[in-house]
Amino acid sequence: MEGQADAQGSEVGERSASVHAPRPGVTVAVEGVSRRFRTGFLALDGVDLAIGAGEMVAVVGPSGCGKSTLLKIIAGLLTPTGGRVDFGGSRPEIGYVFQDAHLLPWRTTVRNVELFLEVDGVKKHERRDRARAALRLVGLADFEDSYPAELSGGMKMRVSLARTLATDPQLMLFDEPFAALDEITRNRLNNDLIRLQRDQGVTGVFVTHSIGEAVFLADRVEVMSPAPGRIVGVVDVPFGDDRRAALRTSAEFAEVARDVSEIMAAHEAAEGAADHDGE
Amino acid sequence: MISRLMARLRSVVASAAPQVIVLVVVLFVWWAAVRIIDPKPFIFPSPGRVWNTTVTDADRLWTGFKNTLYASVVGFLFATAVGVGAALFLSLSRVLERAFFPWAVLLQTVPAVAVAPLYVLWFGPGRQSVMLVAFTITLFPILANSLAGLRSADAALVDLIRLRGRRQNSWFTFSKIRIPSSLPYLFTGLRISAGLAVIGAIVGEIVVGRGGDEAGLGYWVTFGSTQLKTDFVFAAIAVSSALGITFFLLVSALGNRVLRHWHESARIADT
Repeated sequence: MEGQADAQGSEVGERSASVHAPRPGVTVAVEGVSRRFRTGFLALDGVDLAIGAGEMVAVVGPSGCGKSTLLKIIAGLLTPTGGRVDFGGSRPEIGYVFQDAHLLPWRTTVRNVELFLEVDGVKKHERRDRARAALRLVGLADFEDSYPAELSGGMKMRVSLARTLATDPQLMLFDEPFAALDEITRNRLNNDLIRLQRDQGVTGVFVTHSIGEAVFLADRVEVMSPAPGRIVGVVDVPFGDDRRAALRTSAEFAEVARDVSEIMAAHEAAEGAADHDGE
Repeated sequence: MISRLMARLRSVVASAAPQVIVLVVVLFVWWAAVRIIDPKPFIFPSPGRVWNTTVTDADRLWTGFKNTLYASVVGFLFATAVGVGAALFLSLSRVLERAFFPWAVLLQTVPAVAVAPLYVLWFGPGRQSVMLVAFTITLFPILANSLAGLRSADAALVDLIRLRGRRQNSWFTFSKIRIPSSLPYLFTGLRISAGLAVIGAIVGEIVVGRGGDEAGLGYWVTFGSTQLKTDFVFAAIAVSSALGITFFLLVSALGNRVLRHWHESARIADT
Protein backbone atom coordinates (compact mmCIF):
# COMPACT_ATOMS: atom_id res chain seq x y z
CA MET A 1 0.00 0.00 0.00
CA GLU A 2 2.86 2.33 0.79
CA GLY A 3 4.08 2.29 -2.79
CA GLN A 4 0.63 3.17 -4.03
CA ALA A 5 0.26 6.01 -1.59
CA ASP A 6 3.45 7.50 -2.98
CA ALA A 7 2.30 7.02 -6.53
CA GLN A 8 -0.59 9.39 -5.96
CA GLY A 9 1.94 12.29 -5.78
CA SER A 10 0.79 15.84 -6.18
CA GLU A 11 1.46 15.85 -9.91
CA VAL A 12 -1.94 15.41 -11.41
CA GLY A 13 -2.49 14.25 -15.02
CA GLU A 14 -2.53 16.45 -18.05
CA ARG A 15 -3.41 19.91 -17.02
CA SER A 16 -5.54 20.61 -20.03
CA ALA A 17 -7.47 17.35 -19.79
CA SER A 18 -11.08 18.00 -18.97
CA VAL A 19 -14.18 15.93 -18.78
CA HIS A 20 -15.92 18.28 -21.14
CA ALA A 21 -15.32 21.80 -22.18
CA PRO A 22 -15.90 23.23 -18.69
CA ARG A 23 -19.27 24.77 -18.19
CA PRO A 24 -19.04 28.11 -16.45
CA GLY A 25 -19.91 27.98 -12.78
CA VAL A 26 -23.17 29.40 -11.53
CA THR A 27 -23.90 32.17 -9.14
CA VAL A 28 -25.47 31.19 -5.84
CA ALA A 29 -27.56 33.53 -3.76
CA VAL A 30 -28.46 32.31 -0.28
CA GLU A 31 -31.02 34.75 1.02
CA GLY A 32 -31.97 34.81 4.69
CA VAL A 33 -31.91 31.05 5.01
CA SER A 34 -33.06 29.64 8.35
CA ARG A 35 -33.62 26.14 9.47
CA ARG A 36 -35.41 25.08 12.61
CA PHE A 37 -35.45 21.39 13.40
CA ARG A 38 -38.50 19.61 14.70
CA THR A 39 -36.93 19.61 18.15
CA GLY A 40 -37.24 23.39 18.06
CA PHE A 41 -33.49 23.83 17.72
CA LEU A 42 -32.59 26.72 15.43
CA ALA A 43 -29.66 25.47 13.37
CA LEU A 44 -29.44 28.37 10.94
CA ASP A 45 -30.65 31.90 11.44
CA GLY A 46 -30.95 34.19 8.44
CA VAL A 47 -27.83 33.21 6.55
CA ASP A 48 -26.96 35.34 3.52
CA LEU A 49 -24.30 34.35 1.01
CA ALA A 50 -23.68 35.78 -2.44
CA ILE A 51 -21.29 33.63 -4.44
CA GLY A 52 -20.13 34.70 -7.87
CA ALA A 53 -19.59 32.36 -10.82
CA GLY A 54 -16.31 30.49 -10.54
CA GLU A 55 -15.76 31.76 -7.04
CA MET A 56 -14.59 29.56 -4.18
CA VAL A 57 -16.10 30.41 -0.82
CA ALA A 58 -15.12 28.75 2.43
CA VAL A 59 -17.46 28.58 5.38
CA VAL A 60 -15.54 28.13 8.63
CA GLY A 61 -16.92 27.50 12.06
CA PRO A 62 -16.73 25.13 14.99
CA SER A 63 -18.47 21.80 14.63
CA GLY A 64 -22.16 22.05 15.32
CA CYS A 65 -22.50 25.54 13.87
CA GLY A 66 -24.81 24.43 11.06
CA LYS A 67 -22.28 24.36 8.22
CA SER A 68 -23.42 20.98 6.96
CA THR A 69 -27.05 21.98 7.27
CA LEU A 70 -26.32 25.00 5.10
CA LEU A 71 -24.70 22.84 2.42
CA LYS A 72 -27.60 20.40 2.47
CA ILE A 73 -30.00 23.26 1.97
CA ILE A 74 -27.98 24.63 -0.95
CA ALA A 75 -27.90 21.14 -2.45
CA GLY A 76 -31.64 20.71 -2.01
CA LEU A 77 -31.36 17.75 0.37
CA LEU A 78 -33.02 19.82 3.10
CA THR A 79 -35.61 22.55 2.73
CA PRO A 80 -35.08 25.78 4.63
CA THR A 81 -37.76 26.80 7.11
CA GLY A 82 -37.15 30.39 6.06
CA GLY A 83 -35.47 32.21 3.19
CA ARG A 84 -34.44 30.82 -0.18
CA VAL A 85 -31.56 29.71 -2.38
CA ASP A 86 -31.43 31.17 -5.87
CA PHE A 87 -29.19 30.09 -8.73
CA GLY A 88 -30.24 32.82 -11.10
CA GLY A 89 -31.97 30.35 -13.38
CA SER A 90 -32.70 26.64 -13.46
CA ARG A 91 -31.16 24.29 -10.95
CA PRO A 92 -27.52 23.76 -11.86
CA GLU A 93 -25.60 20.48 -11.90
CA ILE A 94 -24.44 20.16 -8.29
CA GLY A 95 -21.57 18.01 -7.07
CA TYR A 96 -21.43 17.11 -3.41
CA VAL A 97 -18.33 15.74 -1.70
CA PHE A 98 -18.62 14.37 1.83
CA GLN A 99 -16.02 13.77 4.48
CA ASP A 100 -15.87 10.10 3.61
CA ALA A 101 -15.44 8.83 0.09
CA HIS A 102 -18.68 6.80 0.11
CA LEU A 103 -17.52 4.40 -2.57
CA LEU A 104 -19.09 1.07 -3.40
CA PRO A 105 -16.65 -1.60 -2.21
CA TRP A 106 -17.70 -4.10 -4.88
CA ARG A 107 -16.96 -1.75 -7.75
CA THR A 108 -13.60 -0.96 -9.28
CA THR A 109 -12.42 2.64 -9.28
CA VAL A 110 -13.64 3.38 -12.78
CA ARG A 111 -17.01 1.72 -12.11
CA ASN A 112 -17.37 3.84 -8.99
CA VAL A 113 -16.68 6.98 -10.97
CA GLU A 114 -19.34 5.92 -13.48
CA LEU A 115 -22.04 5.62 -10.84
CA PHE A 116 -23.70 9.02 -11.16
CA LEU A 117 -23.47 8.90 -14.95
CA GLU A 118 -25.29 5.60 -14.75
CA VAL A 119 -27.99 7.24 -12.66
CA ASP A 120 -28.29 9.88 -15.37
CA GLY A 121 -28.63 7.22 -18.05
CA VAL A 122 -25.43 8.07 -19.92
CA LYS A 123 -24.55 5.37 -22.46
CA LYS A 124 -21.92 2.84 -21.47
CA HIS A 125 -19.23 3.98 -23.87
CA GLU A 126 -19.46 7.65 -23.08
CA ARG A 127 -19.68 6.81 -19.40
CA ARG A 128 -16.38 4.98 -19.48
CA ASP A 129 -14.67 7.77 -21.41
CA ARG A 130 -15.86 10.44 -19.05
CA ALA A 131 -14.96 8.39 -15.99
CA ARG A 132 -11.44 7.85 -17.34
CA ALA A 133 -11.05 11.55 -18.10
CA ALA A 134 -12.13 12.39 -14.55
CA LEU A 135 -9.66 9.86 -13.14
CA ARG A 136 -6.88 11.51 -15.16
CA LEU A 137 -7.86 14.83 -13.63
CA VAL A 138 -7.34 13.53 -10.12
CA GLY A 139 -4.18 11.63 -11.03
CA LEU A 140 -5.58 8.11 -10.67
CA ALA A 141 -5.54 6.97 -14.29
CA ASP A 142 -3.43 3.94 -13.35
CA PHE A 143 -5.82 2.73 -10.71
CA GLU A 144 -9.05 2.33 -12.66
CA ASP A 145 -9.22 -1.40 -12.01
CA SER A 146 -8.41 -1.24 -8.29
CA TYR A 147 -11.04 -1.85 -5.66
CA PRO A 148 -11.58 0.68 -2.86
CA ALA A 149 -10.09 -1.73 -0.31
CA GLU A 150 -6.84 -1.53 -2.24
CA LEU A 151 -6.63 2.26 -2.14
CA SER A 152 -5.31 4.59 0.57
CA GLY A 153 -7.61 7.10 2.26
CA GLY A 154 -6.37 9.96 0.09
CA MET A 155 -6.83 7.95 -3.07
CA LYS A 156 -10.39 7.07 -2.09
CA MET A 157 -11.14 10.77 -1.69
CA ARG A 158 -9.68 11.37 -5.13
CA VAL A 159 -12.01 8.73 -6.56
CA SER A 160 -14.90 10.40 -4.79
CA LEU A 161 -13.83 13.73 -6.29
CA ALA A 162 -13.50 12.17 -9.75
CA ARG A 163 -16.99 10.71 -9.43
CA THR A 164 -18.33 14.21 -8.88
CA LEU A 165 -16.16 15.79 -11.58
CA ALA A 166 -17.38 13.22 -14.11
CA THR A 167 -20.85 14.72 -13.87
CA ASP A 168 -19.43 18.05 -15.03
CA PRO A 169 -20.82 20.06 -12.11
CA GLN A 170 -21.37 23.81 -12.19
CA LEU A 171 -21.41 24.05 -8.42
CA MET A 172 -19.40 21.90 -6.04
CA LEU A 173 -20.21 21.59 -2.36
CA PHE A 174 -17.49 20.26 -0.08
CA ASP A 175 -18.48 19.10 3.37
CA GLU A 176 -15.13 18.85 5.20
CA PRO A 177 -13.99 16.44 2.52
CA PHE A 178 -10.45 15.87 3.76
CA ALA A 179 -11.00 16.16 7.51
CA ALA A 180 -10.30 12.47 8.06
CA LEU A 181 -6.94 12.52 6.28
CA ASP A 182 -3.46 13.19 7.57
CA GLU A 183 -2.11 16.68 7.02
CA ILE A 184 0.35 15.80 4.26
CA THR A 185 -2.29 14.05 2.16
CA ARG A 186 -4.74 16.77 2.94
CA ASN A 187 -2.44 19.57 1.76
CA ARG A 188 -1.65 17.63 -1.38
CA LEU A 189 -5.33 17.15 -2.14
CA ASN A 190 -6.02 20.82 -1.49
CA ASN A 191 -3.23 21.81 -3.89
CA ASP A 192 -4.89 19.72 -6.58
CA LEU A 193 -8.39 20.75 -5.66
CA ILE A 194 -7.82 24.47 -5.99
CA ARG A 195 -6.10 23.94 -9.34
CA LEU A 196 -8.96 21.81 -10.63
CA GLN A 197 -11.49 24.35 -9.42
CA ARG A 198 -9.65 27.18 -11.22
CA ASP A 199 -9.18 25.14 -14.41
CA GLN A 200 -12.77 24.01 -14.56
CA GLY A 201 -14.23 27.34 -13.53
CA VAL A 202 -16.59 25.61 -11.13
CA THR A 203 -18.24 27.57 -8.35
CA GLY A 204 -17.36 26.06 -4.98
CA VAL A 205 -18.53 26.16 -1.40
CA PHE A 206 -16.09 24.56 1.00
CA VAL A 207 -17.11 23.86 4.56
CA THR A 208 -14.35 23.23 7.09
CA HIS A 209 -13.25 23.87 10.63
CA SER A 210 -9.65 24.35 9.55
CA ILE A 211 -8.75 28.02 9.13
CA GLY A 212 -5.61 27.21 7.16
CA GLU A 213 -7.54 25.08 4.71
CA ALA A 214 -10.20 27.76 4.29
CA VAL A 215 -7.68 30.53 3.60
CA PHE A 216 -5.68 28.39 1.20
CA LEU A 217 -8.68 27.41 -0.90
CA ALA A 218 -11.06 30.32 -0.81
CA ASP A 219 -11.52 33.68 -2.43
CA ARG A 220 -13.57 34.60 0.59
CA VAL A 221 -13.91 33.10 4.04
CA GLU A 222 -17.28 33.35 5.74
CA VAL A 223 -17.11 32.79 9.48
CA MET A 224 -20.06 31.08 11.17
CA SER A 225 -20.96 31.00 14.84
CA PRO A 226 -23.07 28.24 16.35
CA ALA A 227 -26.50 28.02 17.99
CA PRO A 228 -28.09 29.55 16.02
CA GLY A 229 -25.75 29.32 13.04
CA ARG A 230 -25.21 32.69 11.47
CA ILE A 231 -22.51 34.45 9.48
CA VAL A 232 -20.57 36.65 11.90
CA GLY A 233 -17.79 37.91 9.66
CA VAL A 234 -16.28 37.83 6.20
CA VAL A 235 -12.60 37.91 5.26
CA ASP A 236 -11.50 38.49 1.67
CA VAL A 237 -8.55 36.40 0.59
CA PRO A 238 -6.38 38.46 -1.75
CA PHE A 239 -4.32 35.72 -3.41
CA GLY A 240 -6.34 35.34 -6.64
CA ASP A 241 -5.18 32.35 -8.65
CA ASP A 242 -1.80 32.21 -6.96
CA ARG A 243 -2.20 29.12 -4.80
CA ARG A 244 1.21 27.54 -4.74
CA ALA A 245 1.92 25.23 -1.82
CA ALA A 246 4.51 27.76 -0.58
CA LEU A 247 1.69 30.20 0.06
CA ARG A 248 0.90 28.35 3.27
CA THR A 249 4.11 29.46 4.93
CA SER A 250 4.04 33.07 3.72
CA ALA A 251 3.53 36.07 6.01
CA GLU A 252 0.50 37.32 4.04
CA PHE A 253 -1.16 33.95 4.50
CA ALA A 254 -0.58 34.06 8.25
CA GLU A 255 -2.06 37.54 8.35
CA VAL A 256 -5.30 36.52 6.62
CA ALA A 257 -5.54 33.44 8.82
CA ARG A 258 -5.14 35.64 11.89
CA ASP A 259 -8.00 37.88 10.74
CA VAL A 260 -10.22 34.82 10.47
CA SER A 261 -9.28 33.44 13.85
CA GLU A 262 -9.84 36.80 15.51
CA ILE A 263 -13.42 36.86 14.27
CA MET A 264 -13.88 33.30 15.47
CA ALA A 265 -12.38 34.09 18.88
CA ALA A 266 -14.73 37.05 19.28
CA HIS A 267 -17.67 34.67 18.99
CA GLU A 268 -16.30 31.92 21.18
CA ALA A 269 -19.04 32.57 23.75
CA ALA A 270 -21.36 30.10 22.10
CA GLU A 271 -18.76 27.35 22.21
CA GLY A 272 -19.89 23.89 23.15
CA ALA A 273 -23.30 24.28 21.56
CA ALA A 274 -25.23 21.12 20.83
CA ASP A 275 -24.19 19.31 17.70
CA HIS A 276 -27.24 19.56 15.50
CA ASP A 277 -25.16 19.75 12.42
CA GLY A 278 -25.72 16.19 11.34
CA GLU A 279 -21.98 15.72 11.33
CA MET B 1 5.92 -24.47 -8.73
CA ILE B 2 6.54 -27.50 -6.51
CA SER B 3 8.03 -25.37 -3.76
CA ARG B 4 5.04 -23.03 -3.85
CA LEU B 5 2.73 -25.99 -3.59
CA MET B 6 4.72 -27.29 -0.64
CA ALA B 7 4.64 -23.91 1.03
CA ARG B 8 0.90 -23.75 0.57
CA LEU B 9 0.48 -27.27 1.91
CA ARG B 10 2.61 -26.36 4.92
CA SER B 11 0.50 -23.30 5.67
CA VAL B 12 -2.72 -25.35 5.43
CA VAL B 13 -1.29 -27.96 7.78
CA ALA B 14 -0.05 -25.28 10.15
CA SER B 15 -3.43 -23.56 10.30
CA ALA B 16 -5.35 -26.82 10.75
CA ALA B 17 -2.95 -28.27 13.32
CA PRO B 18 -4.52 -26.81 16.51
CA GLN B 19 -7.96 -28.14 15.61
CA VAL B 20 -6.63 -31.55 14.74
CA ILE B 21 -4.70 -31.72 18.01
CA VAL B 22 -7.88 -30.94 19.97
CA LEU B 23 -9.73 -33.68 18.08
CA VAL B 24 -7.01 -36.21 18.81
CA VAL B 25 -6.93 -35.28 22.49
CA VAL B 26 -10.72 -35.53 22.82
CA LEU B 27 -10.77 -38.93 21.11
CA PHE B 28 -7.97 -40.10 23.36
CA VAL B 29 -9.68 -38.93 26.57
CA TRP B 30 -12.92 -40.57 25.43
CA TRP B 31 -11.12 -43.80 24.64
CA ALA B 32 -9.17 -43.76 27.92
CA ALA B 33 -12.24 -42.90 30.01
CA VAL B 34 -14.25 -45.76 28.51
CA ARG B 35 -11.27 -48.01 29.08
CA ILE B 36 -10.96 -47.09 32.77
CA ILE B 37 -14.61 -46.65 33.80
CA ASP B 38 -15.77 -49.47 31.56
CA PRO B 39 -19.48 -48.53 31.23
CA LYS B 40 -21.96 -50.80 29.49
CA PRO B 41 -21.63 -50.19 25.71
CA PHE B 42 -25.30 -49.20 25.42
CA ILE B 43 -24.70 -46.49 28.03
CA PHE B 44 -21.48 -45.14 26.58
CA PRO B 45 -19.68 -46.87 23.70
CA SER B 46 -15.97 -46.50 22.95
CA PRO B 47 -14.77 -44.58 19.91
CA GLY B 48 -13.68 -47.83 18.30
CA ARG B 49 -17.16 -49.30 18.69
CA VAL B 50 -18.75 -46.23 17.13
CA TRP B 51 -16.34 -46.44 14.23
CA ASN B 52 -17.13 -50.13 13.67
CA THR B 53 -20.86 -49.42 13.59
CA THR B 54 -20.27 -46.56 11.16
CA VAL B 55 -18.55 -48.98 8.83
CA THR B 56 -21.00 -51.88 9.18
CA ASP B 57 -24.09 -49.68 9.01
CA ALA B 58 -22.67 -47.42 6.31
CA ASP B 59 -25.67 -48.14 4.03
CA ARG B 60 -28.22 -46.86 6.52
CA LEU B 61 -26.13 -43.84 7.40
CA TRP B 62 -25.62 -43.04 3.72
CA THR B 63 -29.38 -43.17 3.04
CA GLY B 64 -29.91 -41.03 6.10
CA PHE B 65 -27.23 -38.61 4.97
CA LYS B 66 -28.82 -38.23 1.53
CA ASN B 67 -32.35 -37.78 2.84
CA THR B 68 -31.38 -35.29 5.52
CA LEU B 69 -29.19 -33.40 3.08
CA TYR B 70 -32.04 -33.22 0.59
CA ALA B 71 -34.61 -32.03 3.14
CA SER B 72 -32.32 -29.45 4.68
CA VAL B 73 -31.16 -28.04 1.34
CA VAL B 74 -34.72 -27.73 0.03
CA GLY B 75 -35.90 -26.14 3.29
CA PHE B 76 -32.91 -23.82 3.25
CA LEU B 77 -33.40 -22.70 -0.36
CA PHE B 78 -37.09 -22.18 0.18
CA ALA B 79 -36.36 -20.11 3.30
CA THR B 80 -33.78 -18.09 1.37
CA ALA B 81 -36.30 -17.25 -1.33
CA VAL B 82 -39.08 -16.38 1.10
CA GLY B 83 -36.78 -14.60 3.59
CA VAL B 84 -35.07 -12.43 0.99
CA GLY B 85 -38.38 -11.67 -0.72
CA ALA B 86 -40.00 -10.69 2.56
CA ALA B 87 -36.98 -8.56 3.51
CA LEU B 88 -37.16 -6.72 0.19
CA PHE B 89 -40.84 -6.07 0.78
CA LEU B 90 -40.37 -4.90 4.38
CA SER B 91 -37.46 -2.66 3.41
CA LEU B 92 -39.78 -0.61 1.20
CA SER B 93 -41.02 1.38 4.14
CA ARG B 94 -40.58 1.83 7.85
CA VAL B 95 -44.32 1.39 8.31
CA LEU B 96 -44.31 -2.01 6.65
CA GLU B 97 -41.36 -3.03 8.78
CA ARG B 98 -43.04 -1.87 11.96
CA ALA B 99 -46.25 -3.67 11.01
CA PHE B 100 -44.76 -7.05 10.15
CA PHE B 101 -41.31 -7.49 11.62
CA PRO B 102 -42.43 -7.91 15.27
CA TRP B 103 -44.62 -10.81 14.15
CA ALA B 104 -41.67 -12.38 12.41
CA VAL B 105 -39.76 -12.12 15.70
CA LEU B 106 -42.68 -13.76 17.48
CA LEU B 107 -42.65 -16.55 14.91
CA GLN B 108 -39.01 -17.09 15.73
CA THR B 109 -39.80 -17.78 19.38
CA VAL B 110 -42.11 -20.66 18.49
CA PRO B 111 -40.06 -23.83 19.03
CA ALA B 112 -39.66 -25.93 15.91
CA VAL B 113 -40.22 -29.16 17.86
CA ALA B 114 -43.64 -27.86 18.87
CA VAL B 115 -44.82 -27.01 15.37
CA ALA B 116 -43.46 -30.17 13.78
CA PRO B 117 -46.43 -32.32 14.94
CA LEU B 118 -48.78 -29.70 13.49
CA TYR B 119 -47.05 -29.95 10.12
CA VAL B 120 -47.44 -33.73 10.27
CA LEU B 121 -51.10 -33.24 11.04
CA TRP B 122 -51.63 -30.79 8.19
CA PHE B 123 -49.29 -32.06 5.50
CA GLY B 124 -48.86 -35.72 6.40
CA PRO B 125 -45.92 -37.67 7.80
CA GLY B 126 -43.63 -37.28 4.81
CA ARG B 127 -40.70 -35.34 3.41
CA GLN B 128 -42.76 -32.20 2.94
CA SER B 129 -43.21 -31.88 6.71
CA VAL B 130 -39.49 -32.43 7.34
CA MET B 131 -38.64 -29.72 4.81
CA LEU B 132 -41.15 -27.39 6.39
CA VAL B 133 -39.51 -27.74 9.80
CA ALA B 134 -36.13 -26.97 8.21
CA PHE B 135 -37.74 -24.01 6.45
CA THR B 136 -39.34 -22.70 9.65
CA ILE B 137 -36.14 -22.80 11.64
CA THR B 138 -33.99 -21.19 8.91
CA LEU B 139 -36.37 -18.47 7.81
CA PHE B 140 -35.82 -15.91 10.56
CA PRO B 141 -32.03 -15.52 10.49
CA ILE B 142 -32.20 -15.04 6.74
CA LEU B 143 -35.06 -12.56 6.92
CA ALA B 144 -33.61 -10.54 9.80
CA ASN B 145 -30.13 -10.35 8.33
CA SER B 146 -31.23 -9.45 4.82
CA LEU B 147 -33.46 -6.75 6.22
CA ALA B 148 -30.63 -5.32 8.33
CA GLY B 149 -28.44 -5.50 5.23
CA LEU B 150 -30.91 -3.66 3.02
CA ARG B 151 -31.11 -1.00 5.71
CA SER B 152 -27.33 -0.74 5.93
CA ALA B 153 -26.87 0.90 2.53
CA ASP B 154 -24.72 4.03 2.60
CA ALA B 155 -27.29 6.75 3.37
CA ALA B 156 -25.10 9.56 2.07
CA LEU B 157 -24.70 7.79 -1.25
CA VAL B 158 -28.45 7.22 -1.46
CA ASP B 159 -28.83 10.95 -0.81
CA LEU B 160 -26.42 11.76 -3.63
CA ILE B 161 -28.44 9.58 -5.97
CA ARG B 162 -31.61 11.23 -4.74
CA LEU B 163 -30.02 14.55 -5.74
CA ARG B 164 -29.93 13.22 -9.26
CA GLY B 165 -33.66 12.73 -9.27
CA ARG B 166 -34.03 9.08 -8.23
CA ARG B 167 -36.38 8.26 -5.42
CA GLN B 168 -35.10 6.49 -2.35
CA ASN B 169 -36.86 3.27 -3.36
CA SER B 170 -36.12 3.49 -7.04
CA TRP B 171 -35.12 0.32 -8.84
CA PHE B 172 -31.71 1.85 -9.47
CA THR B 173 -31.06 2.38 -5.78
CA PHE B 174 -32.26 -1.13 -5.00
CA SER B 175 -30.33 -2.96 -7.65
CA LYS B 176 -27.11 -0.96 -7.56
CA ILE B 177 -26.83 0.07 -3.92
CA ARG B 178 -29.20 -1.59 -1.47
CA ILE B 179 -29.10 -5.17 -2.65
CA PRO B 180 -25.32 -5.40 -3.10
CA SER B 181 -24.85 -3.63 0.26
CA SER B 182 -26.99 -6.25 1.92
CA LEU B 183 -24.97 -9.23 0.69
CA PRO B 184 -22.48 -9.43 3.60
CA TYR B 185 -25.44 -9.46 5.99
CA LEU B 186 -27.35 -11.94 3.89
CA PHE B 187 -24.41 -14.32 3.94
CA THR B 188 -24.17 -14.02 7.71
CA GLY B 189 -27.81 -15.11 7.84
CA LEU B 190 -27.21 -17.92 5.36
CA ARG B 191 -24.25 -19.20 7.35
CA ILE B 192 -26.30 -19.34 10.54
CA SER B 193 -29.18 -20.96 8.69
CA ALA B 194 -27.02 -23.57 6.96
CA GLY B 195 -26.29 -25.22 10.31
CA LEU B 196 -29.86 -24.69 11.51
CA ALA B 197 -31.33 -26.29 8.37
CA VAL B 198 -29.73 -29.62 9.24
CA ILE B 199 -30.95 -29.38 12.83
CA GLY B 200 -34.45 -28.54 11.56
CA ALA B 201 -34.49 -31.47 9.18
CA ILE B 202 -33.39 -33.84 11.94
CA VAL B 203 -36.03 -32.55 14.34
CA GLY B 204 -38.56 -32.98 11.54
CA GLU B 205 -37.42 -36.55 10.87
CA ILE B 206 -37.63 -37.44 14.56
CA VAL B 207 -41.22 -36.20 14.74
CA VAL B 208 -42.30 -37.59 11.37
CA GLY B 209 -40.66 -40.92 12.20
CA ARG B 210 -40.81 -42.40 8.75
CA GLY B 211 -38.16 -45.02 7.88
CA GLY B 212 -37.48 -47.01 4.73
CA ASP B 213 -36.42 -45.01 1.69
CA GLU B 214 -37.24 -41.80 3.46
CA ALA B 215 -35.24 -42.57 6.61
CA GLY B 216 -33.11 -39.58 7.51
CA LEU B 217 -30.44 -39.25 10.16
CA GLY B 218 -33.10 -38.09 12.65
CA TYR B 219 -35.00 -41.28 12.08
CA TRP B 220 -31.86 -43.36 12.65
CA VAL B 221 -31.16 -41.54 15.89
CA THR B 222 -34.63 -42.47 17.21
CA PHE B 223 -34.33 -45.96 15.80
CA GLY B 224 -30.94 -46.48 17.44
CA SER B 225 -32.06 -45.28 20.84
CA THR B 226 -35.22 -47.40 20.94
CA GLN B 227 -33.05 -50.43 20.08
CA LEU B 228 -30.44 -49.38 22.66
CA LYS B 229 -27.91 -49.31 19.81
CA THR B 230 -26.13 -46.38 21.37
CA ASP B 231 -23.06 -46.76 19.17
CA PHE B 232 -25.30 -46.33 16.14
CA VAL B 233 -26.91 -43.23 17.70
CA PHE B 234 -23.42 -41.80 18.14
CA ALA B 235 -22.57 -42.59 14.54
CA ALA B 236 -25.76 -40.94 13.27
CA ILE B 237 -25.11 -37.87 15.38
CA ALA B 238 -21.54 -37.66 14.09
CA VAL B 239 -22.75 -37.90 10.51
CA SER B 240 -25.34 -35.15 11.10
CA SER B 241 -22.69 -32.87 12.58
CA ALA B 242 -20.46 -33.57 9.62
CA LEU B 243 -23.37 -32.72 7.34
CA GLY B 244 -24.09 -29.48 9.20
CA ILE B 245 -20.43 -28.44 9.14
CA THR B 246 -20.06 -29.24 5.45
CA PHE B 247 -23.15 -27.25 4.64
CA PHE B 248 -21.90 -24.34 6.74
CA LEU B 249 -18.47 -24.41 5.11
CA LEU B 250 -19.94 -24.53 1.61
CA VAL B 251 -22.11 -21.49 2.29
CA SER B 252 -19.14 -19.71 3.89
CA ALA B 253 -16.96 -20.47 0.88
CA LEU B 254 -19.64 -19.16 -1.46
CA GLY B 255 -19.93 -16.04 0.69
CA ASN B 256 -16.19 -15.41 0.66
CA ARG B 257 -16.14 -15.85 -3.07
CA VAL B 258 -19.00 -13.41 -3.67
CA LEU B 259 -17.77 -10.89 -1.10
CA ARG B 260 -14.09 -10.99 -1.90
CA HIS B 261 -13.96 -7.27 -2.66
CA TRP B 262 -16.14 -6.16 0.24
CA HIS B 263 -13.72 -6.81 3.02
CA GLU B 264 -10.08 -6.19 3.11
CA SER B 265 -9.61 -9.40 5.07
CA ALA B 266 -11.00 -11.56 2.28
CA ARG B 267 -8.90 -9.83 -0.33
CA ILE B 268 -6.42 -11.64 -2.50
CA ALA B 269 -3.06 -9.88 -2.48
CA ASP B 270 -2.82 -9.44 -6.23
CA THR B 271 -1.95 -5.78 -6.60
